[in-house]
Amino acid sequence: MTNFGLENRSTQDMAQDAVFQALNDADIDLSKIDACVSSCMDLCNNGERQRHSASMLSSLLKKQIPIIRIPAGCAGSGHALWHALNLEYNNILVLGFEKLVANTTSQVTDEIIMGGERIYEQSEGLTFPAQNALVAQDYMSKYSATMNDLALISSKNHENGEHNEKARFYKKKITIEQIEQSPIIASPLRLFDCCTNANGAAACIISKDKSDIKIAGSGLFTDFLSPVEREDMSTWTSTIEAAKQAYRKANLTAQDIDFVEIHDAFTPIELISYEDLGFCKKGEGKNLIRDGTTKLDGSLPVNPCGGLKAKGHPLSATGLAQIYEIINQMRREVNDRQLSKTKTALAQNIGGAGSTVSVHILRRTGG
Amino acid sequence: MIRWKCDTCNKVWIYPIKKCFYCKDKITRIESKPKKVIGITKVVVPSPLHPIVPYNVMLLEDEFGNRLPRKTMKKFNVGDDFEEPVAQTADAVSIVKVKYDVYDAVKNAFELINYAPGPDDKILLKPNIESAAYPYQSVTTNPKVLDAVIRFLILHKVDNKNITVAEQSIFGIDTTKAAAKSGILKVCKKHEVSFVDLSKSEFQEVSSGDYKFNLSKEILSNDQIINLPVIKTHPTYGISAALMNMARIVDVDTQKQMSGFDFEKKIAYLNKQIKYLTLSDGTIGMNYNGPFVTGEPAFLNILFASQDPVAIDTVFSEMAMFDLPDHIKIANDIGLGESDIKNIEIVGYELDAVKVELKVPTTVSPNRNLEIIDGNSWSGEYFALYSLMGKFNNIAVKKATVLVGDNINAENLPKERLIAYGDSAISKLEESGITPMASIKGSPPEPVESYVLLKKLLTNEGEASINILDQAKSKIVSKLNKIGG
Repeated sequence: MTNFGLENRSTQDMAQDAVFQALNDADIDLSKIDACVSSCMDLCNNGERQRHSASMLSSLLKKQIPIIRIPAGCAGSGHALWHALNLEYNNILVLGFEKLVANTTSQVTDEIIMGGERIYEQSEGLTFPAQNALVAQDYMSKYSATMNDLALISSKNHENGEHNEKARFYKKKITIEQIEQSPIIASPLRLFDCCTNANGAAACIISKDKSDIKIAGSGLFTDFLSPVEREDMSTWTSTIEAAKQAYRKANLTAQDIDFVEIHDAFTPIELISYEDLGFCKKGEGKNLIRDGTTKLDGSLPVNPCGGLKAKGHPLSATGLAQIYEIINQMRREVNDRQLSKTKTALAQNIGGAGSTVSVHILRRTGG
Repeated sequence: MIRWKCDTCNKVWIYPIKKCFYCKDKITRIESKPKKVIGITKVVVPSPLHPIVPYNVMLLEDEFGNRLPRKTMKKFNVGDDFEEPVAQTADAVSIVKVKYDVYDAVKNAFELINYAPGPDDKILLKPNIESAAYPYQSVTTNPKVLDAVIRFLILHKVDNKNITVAEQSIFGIDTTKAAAKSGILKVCKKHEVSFVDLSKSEFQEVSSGDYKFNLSKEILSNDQIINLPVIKTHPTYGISAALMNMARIVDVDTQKQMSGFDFEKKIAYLNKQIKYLTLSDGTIGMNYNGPFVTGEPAFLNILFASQDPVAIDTVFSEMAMFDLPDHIKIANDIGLGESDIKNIEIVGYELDAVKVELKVPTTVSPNRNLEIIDGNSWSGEYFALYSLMGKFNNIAVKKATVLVGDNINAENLPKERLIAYGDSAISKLEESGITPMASIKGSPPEPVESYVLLKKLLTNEGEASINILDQAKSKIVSKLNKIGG
């Protein structure tokens, strides 16, 4: 993956960077790649005005192979990976990239709000921070979670991200006081309850050849676009069902997972995902953060890379950035954030406000 | 709040569904009102569609447990009851957002201002069909809005024989053909209501202020008029909405006579002669260089309703974040209605909740090398010139200025490559002692002749001119064009 940040790099520049890294890591030549599944959004405001990104990749990689583009909002590359796993090719390049931050905050906000329902949400100004604020209110009113719990999540992820050289908040310390005093974005969510926008790319290669890491199970689920349509706004069926599929295919349970990459676009999402992924009962997510279970040195580390919160969130690139972290942890190639138990990990990638979720479970095949 | 529910399997949709995908069975449209606030968040980051911050987004719930987000500038608390207050004054303006059901929005807009027709009322509906355009272009009134209004009247027991849809397109345009292209004629046929081309009606002289107008008797012979303008931008008048939509209820001679100096006053006095209810169509609306097809669809999804045409136009102007146009100020000054936003009762959505910065219109010229100066020309000349300019889009033209109408300050006119288009402009320049590069006569000038002459003028450098041979050639081409059909 590239660094996630605000560098004004072109899409082609970021994509080739990620592709080269993936090829080197896999020790495979581009000529051996049979297909490519990519993900990016058709953004209107980043100045590139580039549609037909699949063909753009063909020009970039000089490959005339099946190249499929899967746009799924923030869940893009997680979905791309799920799709790639269902194709019958030997070696598949999976790639996610986004040049999101290239305009004013107002314009970038407008880009992202287009992921919401156009009449019921967009026209009512229901930005994603606002949507997740309403989800947080619903959750907190039912289960006595507090803003302090959300601050603890943010603080944990920033502690991790501070040591991730690819993260937007690398070497930037953020204290819990700063988090709790940061300005309101959509009440009650504050600035540091919301992930940061970023530009970036990430890639991986999946192969039918044996490797030291395998994808043991995958799941994908799509729910109704708006949380207001769903039975329970603060239980995301898409996560529950995608996780069930992944656990079933991997023949594993939540108890078998050593560490997790959760899609913490907003801190309440991480909280409800602890429960929806099966790591605790409904309403008990707050206990995991309060007692340190999900910290780096806890029994179930969550977001050792810093999560979307501290790493940054270039929409379609995020899912594969989670996979990147998992692989590096499993190969023990992470410096200051190395976990001790790294045999089995789970990555959850969400599009919209729980509209669509992919879950991948990875397992180290060696000892 | 509307939901669509399958009668058999009870699945509920937020989108209008014609038939259940699963049961293939009937769908029932369920109306409900939001009752309770179950969530509220204050948003502080602006975006192009929501520039005024902070604003709040409530989550409302109805009696069936359906939820709906709703933007508001007011403070509410979780647990509060929610009820939409109706107007307390006769001249209030309602602001309603259009969701997936236009009828629901129209009904809400009317009910919020306490409007209900009587069953014996004879009602004339005045949409905008100024030119022939497709509904998506938002030049003409959305046929879905007209359909919803007629349904509303019929559901209130108004006899469809007592409903008339009437309009007069811009001079030179066949109103019935324009009504067909805009989809409005189809709506009339669907409901078996009559469609009247006002240009073929009889006219009656009326006086208003110092002015006389030949007003269509069709307009004068109904109990009620419901004005259905499209909310649009206009490079000369700022906006075109309720007041402007009444410009063509008079005969062509009156339209010509109204143009030019003090048009804004005349349109105000014309409107003073008729009382009407307005439902302003912003289902799409128009942005930037309206009011014809060079304007961009604005996708506003909004309706306004009011008995006060000045107030409703003022609200649109404020919504668009424009300065208040002169014709609205004058209308206020002559007592036609209220233009001080502080004195206008607004019901439904708050004004700040719907404000969106529309682009200020600069020109109706589709060609950047052609400046059009509009001296309040009458619509026949204005539209004829506009249509003509479109033909020069694919031709490399040399910079020139075309003057139409006569309400201009002659001192500010360019000295070179000035073309007078239409009799009003020619008269004005003669009066001011200015000799243009060329003059194209007529009111409006004949289109094919104009094109031939303008093509010569605009594709030649320097001070081109029109001679007798050019005039003859243009007339021949025009005749051949008519023979060819």
